[in-house]
Amino acid sequence: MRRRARADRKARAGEPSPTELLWRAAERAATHPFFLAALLLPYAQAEGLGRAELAARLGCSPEALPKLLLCRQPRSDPGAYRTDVERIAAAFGLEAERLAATLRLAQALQALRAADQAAGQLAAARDREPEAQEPETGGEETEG
Amino acid sequence: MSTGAQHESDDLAGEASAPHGAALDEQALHARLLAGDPTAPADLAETYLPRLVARLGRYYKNVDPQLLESAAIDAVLDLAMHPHRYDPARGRLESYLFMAARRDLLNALQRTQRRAAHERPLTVIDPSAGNVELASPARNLRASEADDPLELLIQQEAADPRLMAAIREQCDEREWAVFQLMLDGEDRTAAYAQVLGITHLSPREQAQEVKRVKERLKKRARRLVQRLGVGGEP
Repeated sequence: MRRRARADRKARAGEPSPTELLWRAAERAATHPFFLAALLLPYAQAEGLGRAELAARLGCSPEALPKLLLCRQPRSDPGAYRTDVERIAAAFGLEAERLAATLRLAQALQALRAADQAAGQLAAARDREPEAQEPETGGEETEG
Repeated sequence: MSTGAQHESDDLAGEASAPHGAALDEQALHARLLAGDPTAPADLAETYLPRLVARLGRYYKNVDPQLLESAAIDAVLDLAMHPHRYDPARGRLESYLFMAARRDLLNALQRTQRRAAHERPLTVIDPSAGNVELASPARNLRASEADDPLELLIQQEAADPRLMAAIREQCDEREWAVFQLMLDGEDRTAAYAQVLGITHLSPREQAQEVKRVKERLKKRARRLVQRLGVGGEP
């Protein structure tokens, strides 16, 4: 009875459900490379996947997805990586191979983005270079 | 990361809670975080985030719920990434998270207040008296909750440790531990009964005794707030 009254109060106050709260945490966690969210949410966005579609791709329920996103990313050394993926898969009832495959895709996408970004910065730096050198060149011409 | 008041609070909260199920669970969870268990951060968020938001909401009733959520989320994510920052010897994990979230929240409110002071025009309330008031959310919060000395303590503890010290002086160890639980937003009678050493009483008697002690402490706090002149209108 008391629990129900509390739930009613929550609903009236517009408090988010625990799942929605976890979603908000997962979205915030996407800014920290520590969390799976930082890998999987940009991947979902790039692939045009909604919450339910990402959950389906990973093989988990949409309700479990925000919690999954709040897991730590698997450690990078090969032995630990495998162990961590299996551990996450076991905790969420996922197929480890399927999770590993999705993570590999997400990591590849992340690496491509990073490379694109670096290439973009390099190109921008090259574009700026001649402008920066112009006064020097002009000076030499004047002297000559 | 933590203040002296926090350590003091956590010390007592820790003492107050002899190892029981919840404490053992949180020790295990903390150990998993330290060991790098990839699922531990998710369990931490699932277990503590809703409680933390609810607890903050009880104290800061007039604060934007998004600010409360944000403070709670940041506290949980930060602990997940830096589990060594929490020392179990100093107190409960939940207390640590609450203190961390509260500190972030107060900082956010101060930022809001500063921004409001810069951006918002002064509003003349009573031109004849020449009174002016800033339309600041933080000020609104304080004014609207000024009738409850406990709420005031929560708001002002960081700024005015004098008050906490004065209350500490007037409490014995058990009362102080009860007071810390009140500040932490603890609402389980069992937690207070454990601190007071009255778990052998019937649930009804426990509830009566807990209520009596809490009322006594509230009265004491109210008197001190008035005597020290803290927590009133700024």
